[in-house]
Amino acid sequence: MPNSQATVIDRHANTVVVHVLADRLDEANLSAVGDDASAAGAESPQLAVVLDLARVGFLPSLSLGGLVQLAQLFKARGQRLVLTGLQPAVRTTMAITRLDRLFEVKDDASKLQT
Amino acid sequence: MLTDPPASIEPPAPPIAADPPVVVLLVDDQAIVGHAVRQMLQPESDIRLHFCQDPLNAVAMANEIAPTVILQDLVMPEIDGLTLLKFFRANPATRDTPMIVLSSKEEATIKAQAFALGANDYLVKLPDRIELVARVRHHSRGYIAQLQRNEAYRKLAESQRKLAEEMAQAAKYVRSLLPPPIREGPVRIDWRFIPSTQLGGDAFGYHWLDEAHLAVYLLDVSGHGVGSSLLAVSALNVMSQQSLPDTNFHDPGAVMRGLSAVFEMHRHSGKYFTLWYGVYDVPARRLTFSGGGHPPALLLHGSSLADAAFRELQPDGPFIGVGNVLPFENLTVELGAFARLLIYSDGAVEIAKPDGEMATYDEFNAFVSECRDRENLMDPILERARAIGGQQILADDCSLIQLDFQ
Repeated sequence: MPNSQATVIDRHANTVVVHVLADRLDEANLSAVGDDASAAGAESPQLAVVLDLARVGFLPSLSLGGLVQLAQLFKARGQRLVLTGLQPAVRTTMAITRLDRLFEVKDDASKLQT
Repeated sequence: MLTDPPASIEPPAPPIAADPPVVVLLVDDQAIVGHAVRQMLQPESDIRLHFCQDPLNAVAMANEIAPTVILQDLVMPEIDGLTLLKFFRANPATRDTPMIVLSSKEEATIKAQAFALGANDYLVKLPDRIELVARVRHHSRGYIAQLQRNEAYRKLAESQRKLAEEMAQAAKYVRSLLPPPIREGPVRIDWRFIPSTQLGGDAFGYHWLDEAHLAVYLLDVSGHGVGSSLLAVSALNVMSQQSLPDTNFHDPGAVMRGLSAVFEMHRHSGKYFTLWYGVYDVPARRLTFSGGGHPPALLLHGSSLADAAFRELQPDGPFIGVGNVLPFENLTVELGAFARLLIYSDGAVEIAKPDGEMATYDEFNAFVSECRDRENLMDPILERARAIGGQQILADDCSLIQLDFQ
């Protein structure tokens, strides 16, 4: 189970939760987060991957492309990717850029875990 | 006794060979010393010795042969050796050349004076051959390395200068693509374009599609710098030249779909852009718009300024680059008798405060609302952005277009 400095990963019965540790997703850490999420999903292809962004206070526009590529990767695998823990500023960015329509977003992903 | 320094010249920097030879200049009025040093250095095939018996000619000879080390006597007729040291150090071509004093004087005070005036080493005549060769090589090696470093820095500085020139030209070209403000007619337009670096990812334009329809658009490519600017120019030219095949540029949604098919991010180094595109129908006073991923334009309109209210014109599509994964719908608004439209890039909004917190869209909208009675919304927004960020240079590109519909 990959565990870089960018994320902490928890495994549950039905999900793999990738907790993002940084307070913003940007060029410095987006690649590592994407790699961790991708690897976690590849190790457990039958489970949904939950990307926990509870600590992320800001999503710069430069990182949106990376998130979209991650979504496209999971879609190509036929694996579910869920975003959770969105702070208000991140929600706003997702709404303005209409990415909230490209991603599955859950306020509470715990129900997926059992 | 010579007291004035000989005429010195600033020679052009000599090219540095890959494996330059050791070039020794010996300055000594005694021929026997010249002969002895020549004998010592003769077995060293990579060391070239030049002997100057006339110290008055020493600086000129050094300028000509570019020695990697100078061996110099202290006691000579017509010029004091310590004075000649000063002359060598004052001469630009030999300012940094290692100097080994070769003297029969052993007094510590003389040695200290020599070092104070710029000597790098001091040998009492005549040194052991092995020691002389070792010191000549040691000092020459260090000097050659310094010359090679200097040359590398010079080339780096030159390439940086050229790059800066080219960047300035590119920035000038990008600016030249932006249309001039429109001061008369049914729509008056003004704008502000503030890239965060010399070349940014923002671009915008407007042009008449026909006598009755004006297209206006603002795009923001992800990132900054040359790559983002190139994509911005490319997309801008497609829209201004209306060069999408089989596309009706009066139809914003169609334009978005066409751009989305052309500018897929996997074909553009992962770059994508947000876009607000609108078409104003003058006779009908109707604005139709579409776009993707872009902040909402702000329309202040009503029967007059007094009763005008702000409305967000938020396009519905995803940003350009992800493909046609979501529909690009056309949205329409009929303008009131008074109508003022502000289109902007997210650089006007998403600003990091000194404490690290990000400014929000709600704060931005509240500020713009406070400015509702001002004729120019753009400059207060820019001043606010600079004030929030605490510096004149904004962290992100910031573009603003204001349209006043007559």
